[in-house]
Amino acid sequence: MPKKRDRLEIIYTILKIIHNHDNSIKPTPLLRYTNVSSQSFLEYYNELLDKELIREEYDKKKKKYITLTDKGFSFLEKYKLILGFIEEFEL
Amino acid sequence: MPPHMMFKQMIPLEILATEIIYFILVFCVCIFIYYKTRDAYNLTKHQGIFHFRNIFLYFALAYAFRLLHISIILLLDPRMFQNIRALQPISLLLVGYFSTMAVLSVAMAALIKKIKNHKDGLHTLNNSLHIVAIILAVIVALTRSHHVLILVLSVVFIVSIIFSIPKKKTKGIISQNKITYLLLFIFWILNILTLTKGVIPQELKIPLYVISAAIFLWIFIRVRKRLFSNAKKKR
Repeated sequence: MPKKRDRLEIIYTILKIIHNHDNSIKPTPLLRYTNVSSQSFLEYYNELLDKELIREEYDKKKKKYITLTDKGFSFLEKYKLILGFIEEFEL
Repeated sequence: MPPHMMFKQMIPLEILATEIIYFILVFCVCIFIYYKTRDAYNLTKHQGIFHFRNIFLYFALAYAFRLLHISIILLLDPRMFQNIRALQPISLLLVGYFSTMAVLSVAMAALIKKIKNHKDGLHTLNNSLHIVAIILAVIVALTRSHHVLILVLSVVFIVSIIFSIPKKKTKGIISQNKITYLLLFIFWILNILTLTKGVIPQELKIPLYVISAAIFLWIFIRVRKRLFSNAKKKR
């Protein structure tokens, strides 16, 4: 049975998907690619907005896009180091 | 009476110098750990990292007020300074509060995996840690006893050990990390014991301080290695 993804891993996945889509993706495809329930996705989504890792942007047609903030890029860069740190100290 | 006469005739400057050097070393290492983990916490808001950082913030403050407490005991003669007696419980209150917070943070860092799912309760739990620490510190200050402080911290630590024992038998119950936490606790208790005259012989204090500072330094090296060395290699 595959291991259940933890919180930090799901956050990383969401940010990585946005990054891989030229830092601009609509909410629905993001939900689909993330592969979590819509309720869980909403929780993560709001958390990422609160932590200022992502932000919502609107185009001329008022369509919503999600992009990474500087903090989001920094998270992607440091994710593996932070993960190693959490494992090292069993946090 | 000239001010210098107000100090005890035999000013134990060597003792104080040792205490100051020891304090500076431990304080700097603790603040470095707190500072170096800032980014990791700001990016993730991970509760484990939050409590891990707090261990060192509160230990740094506990060591600072321990130095103040020692200075009051060593330098100022209570016969000359009647009000100094009033300062001792205050410094003991602060040592008690910050060291209890440090030990509670150790407990939280060890237990966070078990409680982190209860997201709503975490804020209340974090606030209640301060309330517990304040109550226990007031008890310690009222009794004016280092031994009561040791008793309080031991109870807190033993309770956290009981809660951290896994229900299922696992291979590594005593991990390197739990040993680190245990050593931090034991050496803090020994540090408090040094406040009571005659409990720990003078000649044992320096080796004790060296080992204690080495533990903090060892944690700092591990933090640095995890969070920074790989990044340098990548560049």
